[in-house]
Amino acid sequence: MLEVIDGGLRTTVQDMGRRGGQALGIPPSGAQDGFALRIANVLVGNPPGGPLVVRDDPGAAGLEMTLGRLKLRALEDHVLALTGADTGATVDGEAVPCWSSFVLREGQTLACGLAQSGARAYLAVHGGIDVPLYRGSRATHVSGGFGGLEGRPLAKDDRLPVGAPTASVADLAGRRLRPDLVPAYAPPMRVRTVAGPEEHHFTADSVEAFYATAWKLNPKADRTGMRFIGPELSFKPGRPHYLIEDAGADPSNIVIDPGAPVGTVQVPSGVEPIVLCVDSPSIGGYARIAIVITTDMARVGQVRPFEETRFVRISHEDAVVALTAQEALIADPDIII
Amino acid sequence: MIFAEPVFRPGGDRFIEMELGDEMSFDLNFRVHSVSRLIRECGPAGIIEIVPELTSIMISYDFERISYADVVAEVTALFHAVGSLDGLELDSRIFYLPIRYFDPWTRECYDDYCAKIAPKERDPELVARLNGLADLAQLARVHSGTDYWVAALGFYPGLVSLMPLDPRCRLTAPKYDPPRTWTYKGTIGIGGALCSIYPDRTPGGYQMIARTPVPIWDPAQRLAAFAESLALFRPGDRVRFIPASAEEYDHVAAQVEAGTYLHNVAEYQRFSIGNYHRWLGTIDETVRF
Repeated sequence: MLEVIDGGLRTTVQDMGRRGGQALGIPPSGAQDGFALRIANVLVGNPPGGPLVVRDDPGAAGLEMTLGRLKLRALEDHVLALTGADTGATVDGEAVPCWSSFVLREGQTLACGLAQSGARAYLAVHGGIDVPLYRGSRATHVSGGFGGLEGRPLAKDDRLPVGAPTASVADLAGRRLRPDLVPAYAPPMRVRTVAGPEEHHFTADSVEAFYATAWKLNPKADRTGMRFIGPELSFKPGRPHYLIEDAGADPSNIVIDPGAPVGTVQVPSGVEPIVLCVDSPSIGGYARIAIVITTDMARVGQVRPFEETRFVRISHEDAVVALTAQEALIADPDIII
Repeated sequence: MIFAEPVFRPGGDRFIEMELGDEMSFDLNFRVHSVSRLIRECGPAGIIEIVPELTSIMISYDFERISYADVVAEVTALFHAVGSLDGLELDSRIFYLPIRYFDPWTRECYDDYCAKIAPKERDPELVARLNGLADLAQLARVHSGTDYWVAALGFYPGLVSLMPLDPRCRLTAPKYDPPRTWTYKGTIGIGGALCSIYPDRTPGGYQMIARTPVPIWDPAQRLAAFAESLALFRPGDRVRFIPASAEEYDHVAAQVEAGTYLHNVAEYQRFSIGNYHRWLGTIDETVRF
């Protein structure tokens, strides 16, 4: 059991998301930076689960902190690991390294500071955060009010149940990720995409501008969508009449409402492309210029307000290669030393 | 138009978007649901989730079990196996929802928008004017004069996209620009050619003309109708709006509050698209109620 002393800026219980709800409009939710949460779970000996949506395997639940400031007290001995953004965390005042497992003894306090680079930090605990499963996952969807701890962010005096241990504290403490695999969250963040279904609706100049621009993250970004500030993009003329009748004169509005899976980059009215994130519903409605590849949604989750992001187009085949390589990496026992 | 062959677009490395057309029509949406059902029943291993939408189907797949090219080949074969729609029938429940037209809550929401964001014409008056209706009474008559087809769920958990099945009741309206920051739960709105019910208090853009006290989405699954699902509707259901007085609205709202409300639904209904097409041929679509 862990006791929350301070929930921080916004901390929620997350795993690798729920599957099968999208036909009802239920988003997958889960970790914004799935790589960081999965590695945290590997470090403490938990099942990491599969990549979002692709596997029906949420893995163990941990905590996702936005920018940090979480403070917890252990009510019994636990093995923990922190990954993602480095919050300069301490245990009873003594620094603990990121991307490593450590022991939090009964009565000890873990205090996270504010992240200096990266936007989200992850905490895994051996046994996993043991809140009830909701539709196959423990991920919190705050605006829907379900999953996680009562469907809400953590607050002072919350108690987090932890699953039963399956290994000894001594075996699990002091493990760390191979240093060359620790991601750097230095801007400009490079985010790979494949061409979106409506890329051909945009002018050639606008497609070029989309890939040439260092986009700045709008500070109103959240787990539903991240808007990026930059040049206005324009659409080719010649919108068919039936579309104007059904979807309106705005050329970005293709409503007709196509699918908008996590990673979709929509451009409403040509202004501020939005990357749809893990809490976004399944249906969109605006022209989709690009789609962020599965592996790189982890990087999107680490962009800070006003930080720069560059989109890089790759082929569909290379996106599959990147995902295959990431899955092989996470399954490889030698990445932990 | 409705495509003779589906158009496939890779949605990144784990989704495929299968487009069956690009117009807002019942026939197209019916085909979407027919193809989706066939993929769900006989699709290849490795397909994970099938999300039917208004004009397209989103398919997610496990890249380690099946390739993009194989998904495309398999679902194309299923698309052709559906064939003509006229022989198809499917189970389609009808839900009867009491709604109060031109209610005080959507008016309050409108006033708040005008005061804080931008002044605009009142929603019911705007919808009546743009659709050539004589007055608000006719708007209520036209809007409640048809069954609605549950074409898709999405945008927000439980949110429905409803298409009027009677072309004489078709209403269109532009969306709020900029959108509202909040909308009352249960608000009935019109945007483009669609009608929607807001499942919860959310931002929104549809023109608001009524409100229902009946929940259509319940993550706590408190009422009996939500025992099996958080969402009241499934694609392919139908909805009929029943105009309610203030007293009737309050009566239902109190039952909902007490947890005793029983959703009014006919479970024995089937929908025959052949019969529907034949009926369409007998009516004058240009006449309003």
